[in-house]
Amino acid sequence: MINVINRAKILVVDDDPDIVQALTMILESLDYRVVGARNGLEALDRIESEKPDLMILDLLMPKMDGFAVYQILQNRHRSGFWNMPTIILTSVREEASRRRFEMETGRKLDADEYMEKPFLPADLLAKVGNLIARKRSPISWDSPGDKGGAHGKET
Amino acid sequence: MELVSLDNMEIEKEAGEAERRYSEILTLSRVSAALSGLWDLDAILNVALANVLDIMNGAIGGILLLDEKTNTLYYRVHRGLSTRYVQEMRIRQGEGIAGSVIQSGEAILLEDISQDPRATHPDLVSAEGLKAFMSVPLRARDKVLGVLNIASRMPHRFTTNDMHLLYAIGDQLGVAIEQAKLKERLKTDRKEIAKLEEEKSSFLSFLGMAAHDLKAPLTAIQSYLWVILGGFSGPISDKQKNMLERCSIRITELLKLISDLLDIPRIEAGQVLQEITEVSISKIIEKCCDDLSSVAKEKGITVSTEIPKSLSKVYGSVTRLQQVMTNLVSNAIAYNVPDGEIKVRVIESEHDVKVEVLDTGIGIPARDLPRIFEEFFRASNVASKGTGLGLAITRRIINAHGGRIWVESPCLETGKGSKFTFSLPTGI
Repeated sequence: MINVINRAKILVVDDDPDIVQALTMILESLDYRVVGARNGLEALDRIESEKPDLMILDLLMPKMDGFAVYQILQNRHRSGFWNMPTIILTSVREEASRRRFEMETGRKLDADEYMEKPFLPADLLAKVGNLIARKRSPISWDSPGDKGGAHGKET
Repeated sequence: MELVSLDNMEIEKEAGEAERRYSEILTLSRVSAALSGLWDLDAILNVALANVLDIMNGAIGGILLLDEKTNTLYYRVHRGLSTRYVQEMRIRQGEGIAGSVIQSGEAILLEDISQDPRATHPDLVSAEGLKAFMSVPLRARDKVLGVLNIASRMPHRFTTNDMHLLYAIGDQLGVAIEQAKLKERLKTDRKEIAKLEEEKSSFLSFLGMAAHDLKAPLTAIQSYLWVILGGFSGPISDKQKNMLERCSIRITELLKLISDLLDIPRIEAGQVLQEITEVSISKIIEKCCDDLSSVAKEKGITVSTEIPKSLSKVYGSVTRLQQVMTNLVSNAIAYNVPDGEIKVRVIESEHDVKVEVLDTGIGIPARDLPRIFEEFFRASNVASKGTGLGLAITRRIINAHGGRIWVESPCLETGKGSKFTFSLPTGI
C-alpha cells in the first residue's frame, strides 16, 4: 500500500464507455490508477475531485466537448491544472482537429500528444509513460516553452 | 409680299416646333429625374405613370408588362381603371391594341377607342367611358418588355406629337424596367446561392456525423480486440489469437473503406479549401517516406528521394497532401517486385512544382490506363486489395488544389513499372 502514493492517476474522458473500459484495462496492466468521465462537464468535476496526474481526452463528446475542456483548463492558470499532461484522443486526423480548434478559438491546440482511435496498447502505454516521467522530472516541467515545443509551428 | 408672309409663317412654324421640342426635352428629363434612384419595379412604374398622366393631362392609364412564362400581357400598375376589370386581364401577343403594340413594337394612336373594333375589352371601354387612346411599346435594346396605355374620356384628345413624346418616355421606361428586373434577378440569385451554401454546410455536417457514428462502434470493437490480443484480459489460445487477428484486419479494412467513401463528398464540397496553408512539400514527402519505410523494408524495397534544396511556396492542405503522398508511395510499395526501387522526385518549373513517384513494379496494363483514376476501378493485373478509391481520392485532392495528376506505364525513363506525376501551382 505504500506504493499507492507513487501510482500515477489518469483521467480517461470519452463518451464511449467501451473505449473507457479498453483504456482502463490497458492502463491498469501497468498499475496506473484510472478514473473515467463520460463528457466534458464530468471531466471538469473529476479534475477538481481526483486531481489526476494525466488526462486522456476525447474531442467529440456530448454536453461539453474536448475542445472546450482543454480551453477551460488553459484559461484557468491559477487552478493548478493548466499544465496537466494531456493526450488528445481523436477519431479525426490530428491535423484536422488542430485546425478546427484553431479556427474556432483563434488559439493553438498545444496538447502534449495526439492519439488516433483505435490505438495500439503499446503506443498508448509508451506515450503515457513518457508524459508521466516528464511530469515527475522537476527540471523539464513547469517551463511553458517546453510544453508546446513538440507541436510548435512548422518552420 | 407673298413670299415674305410665307417666310413669316415658316418662321412661326419653326419657332413653334422648337418650343415643342424644348418642352418635350424638359418632360423627358423630368421623367428621367423622377425615375433616377428608383430600383423597385413597382415604384418605377407608378412614378412613371403618374408623371405621364400629369404631362398628358390624362386621367386614365396603365402599364402592362409581358409575363415571360405565359407570354401574355398583364396590368402591373394602373390609374383611373377599376381593379375588377384589369386584375384578371391577360392579353396575348397580337391580340387587340396592346397585343399588336407588343408584337410590332409600333405605337398606336386612336381618336376614339369606343368606335374601334380592335378593342379586346369593349365592356371595359364602355363602362369606363374611354374615348381617345394611346398605346406605346416599352422597349429596352431590341426587346419589347411591355406597353404603356393612356386614355381620355374625351375623343380626339391626343396628337401625333403627344404620341412621339410618349414613345420617347416608353423607351426611357423600358431601360428602367430592364435594370429593375436585372436587380430583382440578382437578388433571387443571391438568395439561391445562400441557400446552396447552407445546404452544402449541412451536408458536410451530416457527413461528419455519419463518419463519427459509423466509425465509433468499429473503433470500440477494434480497441477491445487489441486489448484481448495484447493479453490485457488474460491468456488466449493460438487459434483464438489467429481468428481475432483476422477480425482486427477486417475491421481495419472496413474503417479504411468508410473514411475513403466519406472523403469523396468532403473533397467535392470544397473541404480542402478550408484547410489551405503554406506547406512544405519536402517535409510532406520526408514524413511519408519515413512512415512507410518499415513496410518498404519488409519487402526489400529501397525508397530514395530527390528534392531541390529550395522550393517556391506552395499552398495546400497538409493532411490532404500527406494523404496523396501516402497513397502513391504505398501503391508503389504494394505493386512493386521484391527488392524493387521507388524514387520520389520533385521538379520545380516556372508556374508549378511537380512531384514524381517512380517505381519498378508490375506497372499498369495499357488498356487500364485511361480508367486508373476512376472510383472502384482496379487494374486487371492486381489482386483485389484496398478499397479501389485511393487513386480516385488522390486525383480529387490534387484537382481541388488546382493541380493535375497523370501516369505513365511503363515509366519512359526506366522502361519499368510506372510513374505517377502530380503538379501543384506555386505562389497565389
